[in-house]
Amino acid sequence: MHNRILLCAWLIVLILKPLDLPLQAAFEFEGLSWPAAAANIKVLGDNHPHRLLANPSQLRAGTRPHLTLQYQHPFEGLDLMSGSLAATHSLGNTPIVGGLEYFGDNIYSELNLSCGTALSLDAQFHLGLSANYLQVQVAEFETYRAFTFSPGLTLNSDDKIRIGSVFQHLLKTGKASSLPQKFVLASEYRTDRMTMLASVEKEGVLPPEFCMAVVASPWSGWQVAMGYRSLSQSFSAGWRLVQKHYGLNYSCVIHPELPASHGFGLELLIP
Amino acid sequence: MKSLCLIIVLAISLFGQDDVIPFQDETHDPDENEYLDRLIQYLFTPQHLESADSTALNAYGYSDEAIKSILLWQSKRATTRGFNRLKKKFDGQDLQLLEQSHFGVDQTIHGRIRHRFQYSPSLEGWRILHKGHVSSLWGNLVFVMEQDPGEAQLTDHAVFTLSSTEIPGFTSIIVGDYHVSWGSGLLINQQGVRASYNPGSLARRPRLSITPHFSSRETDFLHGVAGEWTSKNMRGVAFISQRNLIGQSDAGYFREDSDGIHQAGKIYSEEKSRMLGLAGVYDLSPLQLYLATKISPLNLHSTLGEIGLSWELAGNHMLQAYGIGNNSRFDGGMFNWSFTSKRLRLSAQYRRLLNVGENSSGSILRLMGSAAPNESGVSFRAQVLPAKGVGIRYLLDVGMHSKTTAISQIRRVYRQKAQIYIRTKHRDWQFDLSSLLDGPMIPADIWSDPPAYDKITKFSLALNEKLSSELQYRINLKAANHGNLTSGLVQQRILYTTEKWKFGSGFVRFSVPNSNLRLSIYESSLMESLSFYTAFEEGLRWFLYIRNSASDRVSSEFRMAQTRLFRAEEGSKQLACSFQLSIVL
Repeated sequence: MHNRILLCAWLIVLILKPLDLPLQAAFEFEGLSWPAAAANIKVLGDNHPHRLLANPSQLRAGTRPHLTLQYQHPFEGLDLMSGSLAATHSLGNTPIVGGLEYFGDNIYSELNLSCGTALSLDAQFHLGLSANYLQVQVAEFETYRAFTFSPGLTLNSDDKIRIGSVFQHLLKTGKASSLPQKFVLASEYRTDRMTMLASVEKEGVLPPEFCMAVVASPWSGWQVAMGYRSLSQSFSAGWRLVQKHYGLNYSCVIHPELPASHGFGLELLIP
Repeated sequence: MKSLCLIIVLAISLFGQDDVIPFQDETHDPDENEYLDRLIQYLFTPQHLESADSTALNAYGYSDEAIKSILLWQSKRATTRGFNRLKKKFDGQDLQLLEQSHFGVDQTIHGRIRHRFQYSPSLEGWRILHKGHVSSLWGNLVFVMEQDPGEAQLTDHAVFTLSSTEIPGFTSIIVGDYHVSWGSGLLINQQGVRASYNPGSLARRPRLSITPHFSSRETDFLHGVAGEWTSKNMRGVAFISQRNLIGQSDAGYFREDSDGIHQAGKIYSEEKSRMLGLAGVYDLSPLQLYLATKISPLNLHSTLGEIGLSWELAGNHMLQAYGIGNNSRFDGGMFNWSFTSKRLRLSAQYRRLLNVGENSSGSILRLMGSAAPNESGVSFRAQVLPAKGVGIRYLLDVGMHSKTTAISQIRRVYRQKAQIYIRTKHRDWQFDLSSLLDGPMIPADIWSDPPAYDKITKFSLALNEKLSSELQYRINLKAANHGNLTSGLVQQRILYTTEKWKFGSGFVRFSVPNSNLRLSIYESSLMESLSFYTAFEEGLRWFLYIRNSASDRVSSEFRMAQTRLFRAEEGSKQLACSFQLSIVL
């Protein structure tokens, strides 16, 4: 069974490889959802639809519906707006995640529509694949579009340690060139009340960025996170409250030269 | 030259970390092609243990005793119970090979994924590499993705190759990027061939195989479909390839980038390389007839053929003859002879190459590399094993080579090497001595000028002390002389190995005044993220290597090396580091 699935997956890869025509746009905005509080490390960490959207290999069969709505205010004072919607669900035994993210102003806008699913090879090893539609619109000029595919994997080394990686936009279709690819390798160490995350991210021609974050659970239902990213030299912090059927979160990113960014989120957990 | 050395080091440092390579030798200076070939052959040559004959078993690397046992097991219907008995009986390399054979393997997928981050101080940037190999009974899937420093895309070099040994009618089929090994290497590049002490490097058993491309090397491979089949006494290989070459165009002449570094923002030219080929071997034991042709549709004059004959005589002698050319031109040929016994191996080769250029760069023994397309020469190799753990090897290459046929361009080469090694339970000794004489056959003024030969002499002495089952110490002394100039190098290395950890460290002090006198040393072996260093100028260098196997499925490696050059005004200290994570499916 696994043989057949893997064979099919790689045949798709081989067929799509010649269509390597990426989008002419930047897509530099990383989002301000709950993972932003933890240095925006999305490859691993606690289950949140935006993390699962970034690395679907974290999805498991029987995932219950989880919806999150984010209002984001990037770089306050610059009149930029951002928002996102993401949800997880299961179709039979197949877990899926989908989401929509918007960033921009009256002149320039980015739109990202994604969905993904996961395949568990065994109890420890999980593969994921997300399909993304990206659009950049420059008012009165042109609209650029691209479809991309991003594979990811998660390995549970033991109860406490996990390793994960994602290759964003590994396969690309669209017009022109320069949608940057990104590779993220992350590890997670988890104790009863604390999760430590570390990652290295390599995007396009930029040097690698090292990111570290700590997520603590001081009280029942509460999470507090803080993190640091080396290349942008940005600090981040935030909190999250998760109850049985709903959750709230806030994240803040402080850049040494740019204005601070804020994100607010509402989560709905449907039994 | 520095960048060339760096590229070689970068390319080399990819190779097997977790894969158990059944050989490890420091008896001569490292060469990337040789290791690449070993690794590829090891990974992608399936062992059909229940049907392999003694030649095939020998090629896999089994010892003579193991081959006898396997042939006996085959004669008793090759049962699973018998296979398990073989497992109990074998040890060391034979056991490793046996466990890697396809016999008794279930349908489970085996795979390995590697991510590597490597900082290059010379190029002031990071190199990111991803390698994956998934294997099952239906075949192999490999992928390689690499971004060199300064490149825009993480997939600047991307390889996706599917190979199968289970397609009816074929021994092997490859779709994607691959290599073809044919005959003598005159027509198609054969990886892993270089002038070495090994007598087998001259007269090899005729090869006819295809293997997936599984390295970060961005040149010298084919892209398309290749198939290999066997029918009674015949074996054949056919391929169709179309690859886009990336490089620079200068006055209408295209040259492919040899280093594979495509800086962002720089404009490169592309050229299509189309090729198709067909080759076959007819086995009339002990005689083998070989015939091959290669056609490049974009170049009407590049249809070439190769014809060969290999004859295994009684008494362990082998004779071979190969020729290359087309219907109007003879481009070259070679004659090989070898003799093999338990304690003695001898081989000799005579070759004459006329305008054999890039078609065979690096694939056949050349006196001075592929820079000179014309060459004629004789080579001789000898290996004597007078006692257990003792070996003596000798190499001789004599000949002439030239870029053009003008007599003033012809240079003469005379190269000799000798080696003695003694291996005991606690200690290994190795002594090497070589000399190279190179110069124009005729001086500029034959009446007054003396023969202007350059003579380079090299010497090395190595001691490997096994202090305990976990700790090893090695010291290498190397020296080279050219006229009034002498270079020297001293390296000390320790290696500490436990079940979960491997720790290596070394220090080298070198003084190399001339690029002709460069000296190379290993810093870690094939088993541990192979790397070596080629010393030039005067300076010192240290390295640190740590490997941890956190579990059966996850291992990580960290390597750091710093070079300090005394005379360099800027960048006298260069720190290189790399991190690699390996995940086993």
